[in-house]
Amino acid sequence: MLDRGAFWTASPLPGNERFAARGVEIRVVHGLSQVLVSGRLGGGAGPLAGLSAPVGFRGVATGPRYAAAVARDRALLVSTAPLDVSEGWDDEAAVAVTRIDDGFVVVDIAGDGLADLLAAATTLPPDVATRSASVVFAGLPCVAYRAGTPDVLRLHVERPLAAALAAWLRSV
Amino acid sequence: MQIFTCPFCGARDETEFRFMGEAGKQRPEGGRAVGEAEWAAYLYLQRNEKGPVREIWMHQPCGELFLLARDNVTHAAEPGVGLRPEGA
Amino acid sequence: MARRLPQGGRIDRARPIPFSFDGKALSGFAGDTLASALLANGVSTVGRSFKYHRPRGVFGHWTEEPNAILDVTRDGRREPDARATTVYLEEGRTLAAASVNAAPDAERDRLAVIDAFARFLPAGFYYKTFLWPRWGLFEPAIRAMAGLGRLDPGWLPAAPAAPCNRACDVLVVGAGPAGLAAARSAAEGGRSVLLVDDRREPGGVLLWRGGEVEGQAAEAWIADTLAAIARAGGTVMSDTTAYGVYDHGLVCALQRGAEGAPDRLWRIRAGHIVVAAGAIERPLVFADNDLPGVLSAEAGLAYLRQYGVLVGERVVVAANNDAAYPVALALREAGAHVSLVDNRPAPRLRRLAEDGGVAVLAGERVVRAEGRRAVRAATLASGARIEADALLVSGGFTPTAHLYCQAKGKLAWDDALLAFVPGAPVEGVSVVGAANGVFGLAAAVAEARAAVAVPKSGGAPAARDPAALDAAPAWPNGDAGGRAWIDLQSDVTVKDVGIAARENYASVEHLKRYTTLGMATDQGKTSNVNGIAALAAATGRAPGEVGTTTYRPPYVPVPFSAIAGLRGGERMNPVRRLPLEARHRALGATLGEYGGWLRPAYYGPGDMTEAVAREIRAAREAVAVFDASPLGKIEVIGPDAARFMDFQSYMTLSTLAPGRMRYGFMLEETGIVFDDGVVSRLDENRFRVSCSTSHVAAMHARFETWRQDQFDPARLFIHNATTHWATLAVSGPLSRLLMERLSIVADLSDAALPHMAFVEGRFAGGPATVARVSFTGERGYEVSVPAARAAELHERLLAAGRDLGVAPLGIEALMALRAEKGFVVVGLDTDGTTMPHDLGFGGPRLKRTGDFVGKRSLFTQAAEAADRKQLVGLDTVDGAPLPRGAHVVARDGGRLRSEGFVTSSYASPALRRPVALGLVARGAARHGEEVTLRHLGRELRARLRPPCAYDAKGDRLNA
Repeated sequence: MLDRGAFWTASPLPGNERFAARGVEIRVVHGLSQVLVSGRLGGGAGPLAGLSAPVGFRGVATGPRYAAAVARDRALLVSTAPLDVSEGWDDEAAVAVTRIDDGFVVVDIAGDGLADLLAAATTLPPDVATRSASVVFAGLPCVAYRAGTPDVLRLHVERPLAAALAAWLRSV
Repeated sequence: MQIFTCPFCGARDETEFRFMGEAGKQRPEGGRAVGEAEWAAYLYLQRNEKGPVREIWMHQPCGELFLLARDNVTHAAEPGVGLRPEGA
Repeated sequence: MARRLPQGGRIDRARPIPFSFDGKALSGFAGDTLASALLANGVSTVGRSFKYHRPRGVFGHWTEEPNAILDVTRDGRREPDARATTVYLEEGRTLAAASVNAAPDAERDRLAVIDAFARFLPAGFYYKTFLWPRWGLFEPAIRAMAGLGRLDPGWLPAAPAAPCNRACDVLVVGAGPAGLAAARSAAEGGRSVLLVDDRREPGGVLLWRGGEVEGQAAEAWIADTLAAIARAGGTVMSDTTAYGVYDHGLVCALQRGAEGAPDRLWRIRAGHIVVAAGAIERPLVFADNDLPGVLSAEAGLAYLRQYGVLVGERVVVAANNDAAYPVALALREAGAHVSLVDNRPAPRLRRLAEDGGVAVLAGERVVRAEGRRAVRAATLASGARIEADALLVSGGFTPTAHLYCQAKGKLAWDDALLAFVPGAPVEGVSVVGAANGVFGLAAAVAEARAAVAVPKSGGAPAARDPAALDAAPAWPNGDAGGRAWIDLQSDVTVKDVGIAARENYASVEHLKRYTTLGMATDQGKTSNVNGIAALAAATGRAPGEVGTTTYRPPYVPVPFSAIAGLRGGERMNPVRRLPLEARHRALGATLGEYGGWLRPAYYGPGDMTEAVAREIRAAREAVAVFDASPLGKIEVIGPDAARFMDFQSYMTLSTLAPGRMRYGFMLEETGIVFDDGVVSRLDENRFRVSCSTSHVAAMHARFETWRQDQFDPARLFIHNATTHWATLAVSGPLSRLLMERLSIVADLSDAALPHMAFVEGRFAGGPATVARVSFTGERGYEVSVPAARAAELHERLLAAGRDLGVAPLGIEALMALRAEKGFVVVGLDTDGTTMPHDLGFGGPRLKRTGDFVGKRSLFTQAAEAADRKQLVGLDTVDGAPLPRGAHVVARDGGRLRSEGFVTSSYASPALRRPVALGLVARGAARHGEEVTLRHLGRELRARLRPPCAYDAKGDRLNA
């Protein structure tokens, strides 16, 4: 049978990757805790507290712990420190919790070429507001928002598609 | 390439959406008591109208299921409407 | 013969650029197109016509060009069918042009003899001639002769450019006077404006006609307007052709890359589109009007003003309108001897022309172009003959309203203008200037400004004035003798239109397909209206009654590479990667694509058969490790989770205890098996659904649909955790031993972990779930750890198991192992009709009282039919493996009828005979029966048996 391993170049991400493309710098962000939270967002206690305004695609997430809006009633909770959450249904908070730390590879993209890159990567009109951070970037489903400042785009791409994202960023 | 509006995410290219069926189709209740003709109509019959239609679509990136009123001849499309009132 | 003048033109004479044509070394200048450079070098024949191989020369000056189609090689890459009028010479990129459809070259084409047989090759000849004895005898030769250009099989596009998205309030197409005025108005009115133009520099017709606009000289007016647009924040893109209008304000434009850069596709969402694309001159049609040296009058002027090329020394300008007069005067001033033949008896500009030294013959028309290989004279209706080496023709102007039509606009025939012009307004689109039938310069500019002020209504009332051109009808004459050409690229004559009309192809759409008029790469830009007029005359109608064909994108040919952008090679359909891919590669795995994932098919050394046999032995006799990471892990969480699972699943799941797993199916509402898999219950409110790899997205969407549509979404949530976990399946009689060596913090004893149970523990400081489940039929464990820990787990397993004979297991071996057990793969051993009771799982159907997805469908007449196809195993009678897809047949009277087919078939080293599964009518009741099969003409025999061929009692699970 055909060895398709020759056609698909060996998976380059993730690692301690940092590379430049088309006027931007791309950096893999390691060590983030990632948790899916669904339900009555913001009503929880402890690590789930204060999540009532998850950021959308144009929102700027700040601080060591924040949430990105993935759906109407679902957020991706992100933290630089380990999150101590119990998975499953939290009846008091009325939220469902699932760890997804290794499910997404996270990349930060910054540079003068960011606007041009977005023009090629997404079809979202640049100035239309959106509550949601769920976007299609380079043809791949991603969670995306600004991290720290409006000049840094942070992308969460599902791990099995990280290589595809890297291939696109390298050739754009 | 049309633009549809997800009630949560807003305006997006049509490729992000998936058609889920004609709106207004009720699942017959009654389990095995439901007549074969009625069940077959639920499974297979579509109104297949020309012009203004009401359809259920899903926005795939966020999973939102919603109601889309549009015209399948002129391609005019209303903004998608959530299945439940906001906040419910 | 054409030649370059010592001065003039917008070329840079300080920068000569060498190039070649048909092997001849020639030279041009920066700013030249290939066409202008060929004319400057006096090249008369640039190609041979499509059907009849008649010599053809350059006719036009831009995208409307029908004749000058050449193969252009640059940087070692050959671009076939390039239009010489839109290819620019570039310094440092040597261009070699070759004529197409001609051998050895355009001048000396051997197939020119075909023209002598023209009467056997009229329009639609392939329906009438070459039919006896068989069209198939002639077809290969005819097809070999057809077509233009040659593909270079080694051609690869330059590194492609990604399509770019843009949005704007107002998109103006065309930077001629109307477009520039519209863009300025819109930008100064505070709207975001994008102005696209397909030429190198803005200005459109002003670049060669000049003139005065709003009191300024053309050049100055263009510069001022551009500056004003820039000040107001507007953007201008040159070399960019807006070629298609699509839904919801989407316009696609092709930006041509300069100096070898790739072309780029722009997807522009415009709030409003202003079409200012100008108009294209129509030719006059008369006998032998296709000779080299016959050009459009507008082109004659453009070549003079833009490129400093004089198209002839003795020029005849044949016209029916006023626009030809400045052309005649300009050529006279450049030193040519010019006669103007005007079919109007009293043209207004006669005096002006004569004062300028142009001889005017009014009330006259050209009926024949004389010459063999190039024009030598023009014959008039009166019989007069004028010597000429260039014959410029102007039959009126056709508005370029294509984008308006693509937006569902309808054209209307204006008999005074002799043109199809935009009719009723279309929401979101305005048409201005010549594209709107407004041919006067001042009127066009004024109209463009006004249109922008009232954008939504589709434009202010058109300022169309027939007096701007004062055109008189000069349509093709179907009764005239000789061959008069309407479509130069498709080689269609007036007589061909007559044939079509006589054979009742009276619809304009039929005319197009029957004669191929308008179907070539120029899409009839210079021929459609003449064709319509000819058909109108032949069928006793007015052109407006005939109408136009449907307009579709693209307006110009667009390379697929621009549309594909980056989606080539690995980027076209990216495959999902395993966390352990690097380790599999290091172990010598041959990778295959399965369900959208790149996975090990088998591990080396050796070929597939050896490897698979080795892996199967390890799995049955020792221990094997399989990467099961892509298996879905969809969590269903919430107080309604149990109720939801009972409704989604064929098997009852609310009775599943936490820590336990159950194998089952998810059905469609039609009762068909949608997927199979194992569901684990983590606690009262949390289930984990392990669905097959290729169904994960669909399962997630299915759950979300039912959740949002039929359940209370506040009490039920679906989380897809598939990518977080890596899962390794450890199976074989020695699997328990190996598991104990892993230092997993969990009780893995059979008492704590019986088959179909799972425990949560820790591995290497992180969480780990160990499930006792098996797809091979041997004792087995599925160990799941977060993906970042996968490599460590895999490493430990292979190291700790070395002395046990551990082997990595690939998919091909796994498929054989599960087939030995009679385990189905949904979509392989099931099809679009298979229901769970066909697979031997009839229990829930009969026992469950509550409703679930698909339940009602399990009790229809079809579902209860006696002859349903059921899962069986098949043993070969003669030892040769059964081919997948072989049909079990029965004789029915004199005919063979299929009763089912083989769905899976593998060699089985463990059983030392091939194993196969299939779906066969009433299979469950026919175990032991010998059946006949048919496959690709061969007949085979097999014996039906229960699906499980290995360890039917399942003892090996606890071995």
